[in-house]
Amino acid sequence: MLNTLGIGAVLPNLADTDPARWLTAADMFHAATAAGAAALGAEARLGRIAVGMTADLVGYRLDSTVFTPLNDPVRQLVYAERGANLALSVVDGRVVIRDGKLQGVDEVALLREAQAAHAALIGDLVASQADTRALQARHRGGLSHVAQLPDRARPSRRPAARQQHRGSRGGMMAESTHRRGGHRLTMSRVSHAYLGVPALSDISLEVAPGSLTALLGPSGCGKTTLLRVIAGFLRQTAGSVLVDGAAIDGVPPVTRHIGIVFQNYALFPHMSVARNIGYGLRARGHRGPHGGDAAAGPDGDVRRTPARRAVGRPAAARRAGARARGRTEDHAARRAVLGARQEACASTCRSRSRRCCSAPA
Amino acid sequence: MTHCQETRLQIVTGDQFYGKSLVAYLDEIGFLKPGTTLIHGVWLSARDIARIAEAGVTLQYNPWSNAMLGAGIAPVRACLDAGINVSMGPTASACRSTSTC
Repeated sequence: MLNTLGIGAVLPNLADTDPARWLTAADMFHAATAAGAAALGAEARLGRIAVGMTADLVGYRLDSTVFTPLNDPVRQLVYAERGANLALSVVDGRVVIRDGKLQGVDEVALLREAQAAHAALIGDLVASQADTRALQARHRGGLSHVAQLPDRARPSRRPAARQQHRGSRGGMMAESTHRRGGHRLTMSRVSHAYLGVPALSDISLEVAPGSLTALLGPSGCGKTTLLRVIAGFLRQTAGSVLVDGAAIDGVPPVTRHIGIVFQNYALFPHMSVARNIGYGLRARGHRGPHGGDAAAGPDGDVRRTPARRAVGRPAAARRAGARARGRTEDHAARRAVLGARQEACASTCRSRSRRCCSAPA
Repeated sequence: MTHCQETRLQIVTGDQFYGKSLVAYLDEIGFLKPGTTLIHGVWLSARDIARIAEAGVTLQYNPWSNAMLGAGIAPVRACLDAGINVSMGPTASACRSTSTC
C-alpha cells in the first residue's frame, strides 16, 4: 500500500504540467483512509483515529532516517517510507507486528518452508521456460524458414527479377507460399448446438488445397457457425476439424492462422485503414524487409511490410470508421487474408466475397 | 463495485457494444449510485466524470497497477475537483512479481 501511495502521488505529475494541480501526499493519505471508509459507507466508524472509531494501528520508528527530522509525517510516509521502519501493527486489538517482527508466526520456519517449496518447483519452472523459448523459436523460425523458401515451391510464371523482389518481402512470401501450396481442411461429423439448440448437425466436408469453396444457404442455416468452428471461435459440441489430417480442435484461434471475414467486419475503429490491414502481421511480430518492426510502427508501418501490396496505395491516414461501406468490407477481407497463414477461404459476405481469396494478388 | 474504463480498449468496447461509454451505460441501467465503486477509471471523459460525481459514486484509484500494466493515468485531480470520493486501491497487476515477469 505504501508503494501505491507513493506512485499514486507522483504519477499524475507526468500528465499535468501545472504543479498547482498535482496530487499531494495529503490527497493520497485521505484516499487511503477516510475515502476508503466512505466508499464502504462506513465513514461513521472507520477512516479516522478518534474516540469511538474503529482503527487498526500502525507505528513507525521516528528515529529512522525517513522520519528524522519529523517535518511532515504524512509527506514522509507517502513519499519516503516503504515499510522498513514499521515497528508496530495492531489489527483488531491484536499485535501482529512488534519491533518489525511478525508475532504468532515463526517467520524463520515460514521462510525455510518457502525456500524448500521453491527448490521443489524450480525444476518445473525451468522446464516450462525452456518450453516457452522453444515454442517461440519454432513460431518465429517457422515463418522465417518458409519466407526463405525459393520460388521453386510454386510454378514459375514471373521474370526472375520480379521473383526476387517478391522473395524479399519476408512474411508475405510465407503467405503466398502457403496460400498457393494450400492446406487440406476437413470437417469430420461436426455438430454444434447453442444451449441445446442445434445449429450444425453432423457436417462432413473436405476442402482441397488451394480450392475455393462457397457455403450457400438461407439465413440461420449455420454458415457462420461453421466458419466460427473452423476459426476456433466456437468449440463444436461434436466432431472434429482437421488441417492436413491433423485435428486442430484444441488449438486456440490465435495460433490456427485461419482468416475469417466477419459479416459485420469487426474492424478496429481506433485504428487507421493501414493498421487494420497490418494487424495480423504485427500481431505475429512480422518485420519488414528493411528490419523495421511492423508491430511497433505508427500508421505507416504497413508500408514497410509486404502488406503494402494489399494497401495498394498509401490510403493509410484515414481512420477505419470513415470509409465508404464497400471499402469497409474490402479492408476487412484484406486484414483477414494478411492475418491468416493457413486459410479457409470461405466467407459469408454477400458481395465481393472473392476478395477474401483473391486479394492481395 | 466493478472495474470500469481501465484501458483504452474498454472505451472501444463500450462504443462497439452500447454506442456509448461504459460509465454512461452503467448509469442508464441504474448501476451508478452512492455505495457503488468504479475501479480504475483511467479513461474518463469530462461527461463521465460529471455522471460519476452526480451519482455519488466512489472512484478507486489504482496507480501501481495502472502504471505497471501501462493502462494510463487516471484523472484524479479532475475527479477531486468534481467532488468525487476518490479512494485508494492496492490492486497490483496480475504479474506482480518481477521474478516471474
